[in-house]
Amino acid sequence: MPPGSRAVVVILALALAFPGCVFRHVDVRPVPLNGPSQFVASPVKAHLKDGSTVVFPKGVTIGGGALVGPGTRHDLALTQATRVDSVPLESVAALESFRTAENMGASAVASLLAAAATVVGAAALAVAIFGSCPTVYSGGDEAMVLEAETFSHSIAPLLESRDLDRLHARADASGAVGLEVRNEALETHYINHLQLLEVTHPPGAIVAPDPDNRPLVVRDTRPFREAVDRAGRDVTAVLAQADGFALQADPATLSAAESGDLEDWIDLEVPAEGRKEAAVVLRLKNSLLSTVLFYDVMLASAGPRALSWIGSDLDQISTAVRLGRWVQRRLGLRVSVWRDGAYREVARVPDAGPIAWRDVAVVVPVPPSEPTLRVRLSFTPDLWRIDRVALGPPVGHASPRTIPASVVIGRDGRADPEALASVLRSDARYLQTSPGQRFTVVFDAGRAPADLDRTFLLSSQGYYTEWIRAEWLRADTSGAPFTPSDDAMRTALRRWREVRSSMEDDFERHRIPVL
Amino acid sequence: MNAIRRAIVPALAALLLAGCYFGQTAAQFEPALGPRGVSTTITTAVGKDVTGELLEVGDEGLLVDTVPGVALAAYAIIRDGTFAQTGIRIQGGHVPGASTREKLRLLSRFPQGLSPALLKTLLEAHGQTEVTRVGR
Repeated sequence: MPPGSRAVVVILALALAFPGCVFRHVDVRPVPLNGPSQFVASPVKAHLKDGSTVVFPKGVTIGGGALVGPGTRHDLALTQATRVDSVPLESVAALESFRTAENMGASAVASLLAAAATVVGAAALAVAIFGSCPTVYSGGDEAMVLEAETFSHSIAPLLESRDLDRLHARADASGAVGLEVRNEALETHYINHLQLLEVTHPPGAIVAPDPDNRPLVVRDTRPFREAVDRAGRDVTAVLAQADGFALQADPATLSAAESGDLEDWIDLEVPAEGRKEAAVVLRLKNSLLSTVLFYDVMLASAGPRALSWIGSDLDQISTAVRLGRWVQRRLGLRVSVWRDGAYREVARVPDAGPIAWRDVAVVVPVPPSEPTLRVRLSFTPDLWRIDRVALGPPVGHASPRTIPASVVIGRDGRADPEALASVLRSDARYLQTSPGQRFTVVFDAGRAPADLDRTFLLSSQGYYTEWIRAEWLRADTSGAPFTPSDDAMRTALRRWREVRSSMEDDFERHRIPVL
Repeated sequence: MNAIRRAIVPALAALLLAGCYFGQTAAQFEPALGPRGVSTTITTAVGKDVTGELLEVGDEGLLVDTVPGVALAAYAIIRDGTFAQTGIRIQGGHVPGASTREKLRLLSRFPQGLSPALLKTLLEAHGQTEVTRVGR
């Protein structure tokens, strides 16, 4: 193929393979009061001579000595709002329109840069960063059980991702699995897709997603023989049971982290016993350090700039890729295996969010030359709450049955077909929820097979955006946008030391009650 | 080069059809949806920050509806002023240029200006007799 033709193909392929990016802004313009009759199709605001304001969100017709269209008139003190259908032009002091304008040049360049950058940074973007995100409960009104927090990674549209969470929920007698999805934080959630995965397996086996969100079946899990943290503490007993009592960082390790040493680890040992591979099964969640990092360092420290950091900076590929690379290095949990005199990284577990316990299974190789399997879990100090670590032979990756949502029920108890259509497939439709909202999604899983157990996993896709708090805007800050760096992590750790003891109580208290 | 040039037109068409959008639309822009002016956050050189709705853009400064009441932040004391959803910024205690002031005027609650009578009514609604001057 000639070079010129190749260029055509490459450019067209880039434009078609990656979403085109169009930059928009709002153009505010005065509208002449004495011009010809016209219809303005965009929102229009009329400022009246008596100080009141009339808003025409769907536009207005100007002519015949009046503004004609559905609007709302607000008095000077904004204490009263009344509907209006027309306003005499003679009472209007000023009129302005709000139009959406597109910057075509920037859009084209950004799209092609986005395509190139995505090739380079796709792996870095498939990462996790904190927040609160949609929470999922099961069990009905009597005893709601927190099952999962979904796509806690995804704090901007560009970071939209798919999440897979093991559920403890069971189907009812009719074979239905009902899950309540809540928005319990000051966030807007954009839920693209929800579906249930069913994995059938021998009784007693565990099913958990691996770091790539593929369900893995593991049997005969048992604790490691020995677990020691970096400070030399024997933490074997703490990590042996899934009891909710999680390991926290040694104070000395945490102090050292503030002054520069950002590594902590747990070393695990078990006899190799001729195995070729093993599955490490973790039950864990992030500590609220991840929340401090996000809220107090990334957003609050930026003050008013946090608005544009979330609103536009994170929609730029370069910013997102830079953030993604830093997240890869400093967040998450790395799994390494001792081989030939050193620990060698074999997997990375992305952040899980600070609310719900998450089960993860990681297959690790057992070096034939080593009599003991030595596994190291390494992470930024106190970033994780690890409840249990166990080991078992992997049965293999499962081939789950996918079960689409069959109905979405709003809080009024009625089926909502539009909401169902929004979450039924991964497409351009999103179910949007605001703080305090909830809905129930039901999956028809049918009857369980007689001789096998089954485990359900929730596959979810979407993203969420934080609401900027007034105190962040008022904060005395540098106003600089967040720059991913180890200094930022140290700042978060210092803040974390100050608030750690009380923050979990505060975090619970600040969850938004659902209606 | 000609080949690249020929590719740009269909590529642009593809971009539009694919539909990935960044930035604000009028349907998402708070000042377009309600009576209030744009939300404003001002860091001042006198140690007091001002957050609230932009009421009026004057020759001397910005009139802002804050939680304590109607306040005037003179340009001379504005270290950093930002305006939600706009990207407009004023800094360094300078009087903003004519273009910026015109943009802000259109984003304020009273682009037509506040007459003394209207200002008096507004202040009365806030339980004030006069505008609070930030930094005094």
